[in-house]
Amino acid sequence: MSLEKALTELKNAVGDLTSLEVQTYVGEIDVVIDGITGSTDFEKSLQQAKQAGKIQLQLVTKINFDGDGIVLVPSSAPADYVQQAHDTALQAGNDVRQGLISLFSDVIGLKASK
Amino acid sequence: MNDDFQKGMPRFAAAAGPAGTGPVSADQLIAMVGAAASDVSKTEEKGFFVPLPQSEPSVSKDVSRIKTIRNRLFILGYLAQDTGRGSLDPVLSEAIRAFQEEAGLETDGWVGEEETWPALQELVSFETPIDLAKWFSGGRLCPALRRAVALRLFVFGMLEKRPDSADVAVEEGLKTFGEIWGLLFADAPQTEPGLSPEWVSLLFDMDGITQRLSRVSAELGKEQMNRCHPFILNAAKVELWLMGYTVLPGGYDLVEKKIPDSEKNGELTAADVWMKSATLSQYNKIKKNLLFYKALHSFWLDQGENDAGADQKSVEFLEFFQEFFKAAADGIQRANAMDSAARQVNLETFILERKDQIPSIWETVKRLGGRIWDGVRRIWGWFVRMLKRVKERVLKIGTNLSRLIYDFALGSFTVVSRVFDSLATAVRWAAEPTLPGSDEANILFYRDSDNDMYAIAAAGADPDRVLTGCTRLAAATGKFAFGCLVVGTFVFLLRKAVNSAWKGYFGLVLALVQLRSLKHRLQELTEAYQTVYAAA
Repeated sequence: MSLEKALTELKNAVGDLTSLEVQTYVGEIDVVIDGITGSTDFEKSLQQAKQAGKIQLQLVTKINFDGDGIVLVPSSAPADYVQQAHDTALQAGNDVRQGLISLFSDVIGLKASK
Repeated sequence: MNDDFQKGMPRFAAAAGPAGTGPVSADQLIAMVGAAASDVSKTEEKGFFVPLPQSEPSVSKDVSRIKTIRNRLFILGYLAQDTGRGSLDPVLSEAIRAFQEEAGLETDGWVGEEETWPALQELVSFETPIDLAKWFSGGRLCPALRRAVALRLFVFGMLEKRPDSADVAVEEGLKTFGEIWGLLFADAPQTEPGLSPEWVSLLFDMDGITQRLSRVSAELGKEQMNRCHPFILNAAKVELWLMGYTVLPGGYDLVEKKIPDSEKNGELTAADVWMKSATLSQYNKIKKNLLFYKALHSFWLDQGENDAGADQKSVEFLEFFQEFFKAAADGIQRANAMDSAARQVNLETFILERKDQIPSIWETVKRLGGRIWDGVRRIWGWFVRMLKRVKERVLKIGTNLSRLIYDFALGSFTVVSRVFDSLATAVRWAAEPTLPGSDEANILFYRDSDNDMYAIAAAGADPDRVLTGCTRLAAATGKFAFGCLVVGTFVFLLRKAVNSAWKGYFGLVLALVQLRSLKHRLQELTEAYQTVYAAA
């Protein structure tokens, strides 16, 4: 895939950059992949798994980039590797956001705190 | 060359659109990024900027770098002769493998940016610090280092010939080095001079040698000066070479170009002067005809001496050697003290005033050979001093400035071209919901349409596998962020340059210099580059 095509797909997948929420679970989830398009309905699979009691929420962090942040403190400390996965996902979300802002906002003047 | 400099970056110039640097749409940005990537790769094909590849290329366009590699392997004794060819041939490839084997590196027959080039730099260049722990691994001396020790001793006049094998005898040379060190300086190690990290580190510390020679307090008698003078003269030659004067360190070119007629019957050659066989009186006979004298003369003029003063300090160099080394040491300190922002601002301002001289840089670079890759730090010190002295900035872009500008721009170019190579992959996965690091049995990392993130660890997950997944995800997203930062900034700067008077490759040079002039981003780029590309 050319760089231009890859960037076009990225542009179409940008979404909301004003906040970042990270949820970390432990459990089992069945993610159905469409055999033709390859797409998934992750939100639906997540909801079904929660309702069936198959996954338990461990950690939540939400950052609004105008300054507020929320961190859910669990009643018991999660396992180290679960905490690590959460921290990594948080950093990854921030990295992807920063990358998108670096690429597009310099030129098109997107307003987002850095 | 002038035509190329005016017409370079054709796709980008078309995509950048009409004059003006206001906001553009995302689609136009994407077109510019694609065009920039295409034009940057053509720049490499044309040989304007050619970073070392990470793996063996089928064809290499960097004539200057190949000539330097060939020369360095020759002076280390891996090649019987230096043909001066700028192409990668089987003989050179075999010499590279021999060096890699002796240095304990992967033997792929090519000098890449990651291992073999830095290794060669450490052993041969005078400014690159040497990592002795690596070369003395497991208490054993690496054969490649033995050759480098022999070369350094030869350059300083303590051995009579260059290394020609891994078994080269260096013990006598080190003993002489130790003796001279003891005569000149008060801080000789307590151990016997030999192939130990203590003594080798002194031999390879050119900055340290220069600083010590600027402070010699020992009163030397005639016999002692006879013993020490080849070392002092050769160290001065190295400093002059690093500073950009027309002279070569001993061992880099054995024979000086001018020998007086009276000496042409074989009684004395210029090469003898640099070896321990020459005495002071023999040196005094022929010194004015040597390149060394001429280089010294230029040096003293640049320090502000008039012609008579420069002549005296050159002819009677051994009376004034401390003053020489003090000036050299001051230059090193100036370069070390100058922060990166000051360098960029000075250089950028300088080249903006001299656009018509930029094409000459690349012509000069082709001629410079090994010196383009050494002594760059001293040139910064020279640059600052010359800017202060030359009130109306009538400096032309000569050899030294060509080295600075090329070195500076090449540093940015290396980063930019690597990022373009990897960006398509990094961008592609960022558009996918399931992220790198996920594996079916242990951990799923997912990004939804709002850029929110999910991490789902399996109930009986293997913690080690989860942590491995975390490392992969961190590396991937770090690379993505870094790549976008570089490309976004570069395209912005390039568009600004191209849409002003700096079209074509002029614009590219300016954008690359400016890329390193963004203070807050320079640190991000350097740290991100080192972290991300080291981890990947």
